[in-house]
Amino acid sequence: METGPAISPGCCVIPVPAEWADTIRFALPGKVDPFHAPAARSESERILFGHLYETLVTIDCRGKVRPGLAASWRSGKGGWRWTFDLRPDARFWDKSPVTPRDVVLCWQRPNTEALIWAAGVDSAVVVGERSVHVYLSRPHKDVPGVVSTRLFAVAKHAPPHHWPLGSGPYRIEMEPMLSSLMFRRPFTASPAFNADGPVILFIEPEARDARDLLEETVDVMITADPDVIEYAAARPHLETVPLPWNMTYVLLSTTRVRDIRSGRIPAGISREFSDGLAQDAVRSVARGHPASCWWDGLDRCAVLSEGKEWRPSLSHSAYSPSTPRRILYDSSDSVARDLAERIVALAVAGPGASPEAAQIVSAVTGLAEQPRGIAAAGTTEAEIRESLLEGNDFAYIIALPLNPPDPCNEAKLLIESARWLSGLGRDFARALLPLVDTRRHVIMRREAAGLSIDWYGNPFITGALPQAAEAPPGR
Amino acid sequence: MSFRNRLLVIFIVAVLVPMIALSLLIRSEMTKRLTDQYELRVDALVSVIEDDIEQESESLATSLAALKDAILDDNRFRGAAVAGDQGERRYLLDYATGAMRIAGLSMLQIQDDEGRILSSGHFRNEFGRLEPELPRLLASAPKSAALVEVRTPDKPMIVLARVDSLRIGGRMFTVTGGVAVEKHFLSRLAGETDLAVTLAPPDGFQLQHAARSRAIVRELRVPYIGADRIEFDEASFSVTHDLAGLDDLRRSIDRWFLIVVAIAGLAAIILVGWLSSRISRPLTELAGKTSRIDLDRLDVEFETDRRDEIGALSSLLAAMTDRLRAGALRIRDAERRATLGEMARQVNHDIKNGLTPIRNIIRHLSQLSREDPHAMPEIFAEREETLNSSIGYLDDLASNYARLYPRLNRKRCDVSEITAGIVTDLQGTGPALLRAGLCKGAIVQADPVSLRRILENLVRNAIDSIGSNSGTVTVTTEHVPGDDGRMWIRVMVADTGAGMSEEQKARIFDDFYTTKADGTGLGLSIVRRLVMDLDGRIEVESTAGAGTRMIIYLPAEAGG
Repeated sequence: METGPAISPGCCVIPVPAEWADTIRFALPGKVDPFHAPAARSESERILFGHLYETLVTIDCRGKVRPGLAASWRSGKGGWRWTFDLRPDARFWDKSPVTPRDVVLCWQRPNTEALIWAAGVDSAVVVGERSVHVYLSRPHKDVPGVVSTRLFAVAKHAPPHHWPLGSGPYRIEMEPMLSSLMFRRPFTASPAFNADGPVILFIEPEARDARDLLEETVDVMITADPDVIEYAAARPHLETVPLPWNMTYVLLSTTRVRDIRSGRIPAGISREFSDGLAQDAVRSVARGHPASCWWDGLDRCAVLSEGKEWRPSLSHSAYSPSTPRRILYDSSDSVARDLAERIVALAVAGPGASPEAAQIVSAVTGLAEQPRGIAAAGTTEAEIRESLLEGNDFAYIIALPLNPPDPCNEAKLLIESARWLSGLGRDFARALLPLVDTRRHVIMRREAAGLSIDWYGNPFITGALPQAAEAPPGR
Repeated sequence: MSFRNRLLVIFIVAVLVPMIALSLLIRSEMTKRLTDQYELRVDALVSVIEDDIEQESESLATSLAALKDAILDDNRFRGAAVAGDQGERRYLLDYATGAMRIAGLSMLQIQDDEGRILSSGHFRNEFGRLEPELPRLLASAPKSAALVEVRTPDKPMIVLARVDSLRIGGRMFTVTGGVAVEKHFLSRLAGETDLAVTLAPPDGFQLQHAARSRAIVRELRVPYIGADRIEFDEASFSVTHDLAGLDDLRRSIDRWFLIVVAIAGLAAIILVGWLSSRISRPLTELAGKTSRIDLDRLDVEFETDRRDEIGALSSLLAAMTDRLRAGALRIRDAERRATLGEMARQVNHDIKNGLTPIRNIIRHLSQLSREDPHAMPEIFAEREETLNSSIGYLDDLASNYARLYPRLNRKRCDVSEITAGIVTDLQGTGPALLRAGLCKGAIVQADPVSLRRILENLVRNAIDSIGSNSGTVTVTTEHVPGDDGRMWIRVMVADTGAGMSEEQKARIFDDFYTTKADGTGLGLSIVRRLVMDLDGRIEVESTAGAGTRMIIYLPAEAGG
């Protein structure tokens, strides 16, 4: 499982079959919420929304920037401003053209503007009929990769449509019915897309066993369940491809951050500890976190130490030791649950029980105090976001991208979500206690469809993204 | 204290106090009997729970034995636990989770001979922790089972646990299983009863809140192993019968009792009011009549048809009034005699006073006739005035005394006829206009002189009250029925004169009380005596400035 996927030059992990199936049934790893569109908040939404909504540019699996909604781009003002020219044939599902104003309005919608600002984009201005000026918070020599993230996906809200209108290669053909979401090819005949692709029937998780689904109805499944992967490997009609390691689970502790702020340097955890978690505690495909990660090299991100730049910043988390000590995790995330439970188990055992327990107890102040009071608490993604914002709980298990295109902006996004992390400066990296890395596997019925991945490891039915072999215009 | 209040107090003492006492007795008896019943039920349930826990423990032992057999037959487990096969490590870690679910347990923990947790069903990621004390303590537990506090990822949990052991490849393993002692478990113990079963661990980590203070509580103590795993402690199952139902019943009884007391009290007030009114009204009337009695007012009637105590009292008062009346007559007679004696002395004195100048003049004239007969005409002329004055005095005196007390000579008289004569005689004696409204056949037995004196006196007083002003004096006679069924002649002399104040009205019948400058103060006093001598009564109604009505009631002659 440690081996990476065999990726073709066109970023295909599964080549396009000789003949497309009429319908591809794609099992998502989790639920999706239309209200989040087009800015995905989960892996399932990243996969799904990636088929529906476009960003100005995309980054292929090899890190190369490719046209998306924008056909070309250029820099100005020494890299502070980037101008994107929209694709002339870009159309929403209702056949209306995508205008620069649509781009700016979409980025200015509530709850998104602040994140976009945190991601390093100061403002966006309509220029003429087809262009957008994007002003950045710091100059970029190359086109800012952050605009390729789902946060910058463009959609048009057109009530009473349940889903916002997109300009991507697929569109909602049918409103959610039962547990399936059906998408059909759009009307557009853009040469960037394969117009002959199949209908994709996305399926949200069901109560049934994943192995049964593979045998009966599903053509493509994204999973990290070792039992399912093992089962698929034994089935000749199924093809299993590991995707790149793409997520890191970290422990964010309010007490640890307080220690850092007060000048104490709490201990970290060893690779052995991390490997132990990946091997025994986590019931998904996981590995111990490598010694270095993207937040270790944030010294160059001067903005991290300039607390005045954060609005509003919090010098302390809201957590009070008198409240129940909860380690919060997203209840739909089994990896986060396993990690939270393991940490609680080590805390209950006490620092003298094992080296692992001693490590985690020394890394997180207060973890072993009153073992009866510590609890792993699964809750909704929305509740975690709310609690994380001001640090209302003892600790959190959250997943971060393993290879963000812009670590500085990723750190800023994290601080925007957890304001009590602001102003840590160079100690920001110490606040994050990496636990394990994870990745998914794609299980596909042989000859069902081709599958590609982007820089973030998100899988797409081949044809949904511009082909990697195509050279980006304007470069 | 009024008669009504006395009755109320009597009613409260006689009715409400026994009612309250009865209610208290009922409440006390009911509480005692129900409490006894509840205690019996609680004791019975404690016994049942003891059996249930033993059965649960036996069932647990059976499940653990089955699990032990399954583990012994499981080569993958054997490979992971004994041979250390890393490829099967995940299988080993997840083994207890699946086995616990299949066995229907809430807790399952497989430990090696060192006490290290190899696989935990209730807390999967608890693996690797050393806990040799738990199987050791459980193995030595009375009846081989105990309550144990174990951890789950999100909270502590209390289970009823047992331990079993097995040997694989020369190594000893223990299998600890348990069922959660949570609300469902406790309600199952309580059954379909209205009893509550709670669990109170020794350290205050309470599974359920204790019942309310008013309750019957019995405890069943069971061995308990706390989180520290040091030694046995004791937890207790508390079987509680909440007395809230009994309290509700008592409150309901109290409520209804208060309603009944309130209704009874209200009825008592109404009844007492009615009763006291019924009893006290005749007494009040008797008191009123009695208060009117004095020697001058003995015309009050006490006759009644009642045969009860009030009737007897009325009869007694009537007899007393009769005696008083007789006594008053005697007193009046004596008074009259005394008055006559006094009057005789007064008359003697007055006549002497009148006669003295006459005697002196006569003596003087007699002396002159003897000594100087020629001077007699002159002297007589000188003394004639004095003589006339004295004679006039005596004449007036005679007139006055003549009005004082005539002798009664009763005979059949027509009151209307006498009245008409008086009105005719006195018409024109003053500015007042006299009117008469007279009925026929107003016949009474009376002395016509006295009757005339009565009526003449009243009409003259009425004319005098008008004085020099214009006004009207109206005299009427009529037949009226009396309370006693007899017919009375009612004579009313009404004037439009000055009227009287209350004080004047109260004194007009007193002797020698007069408002007139030339009055003797004896007129109305004599009138009242004369009326009473005729077995009648006199009333006065007067309003200052509006006039006066003097009303005489005289017994009408039967058949008149």
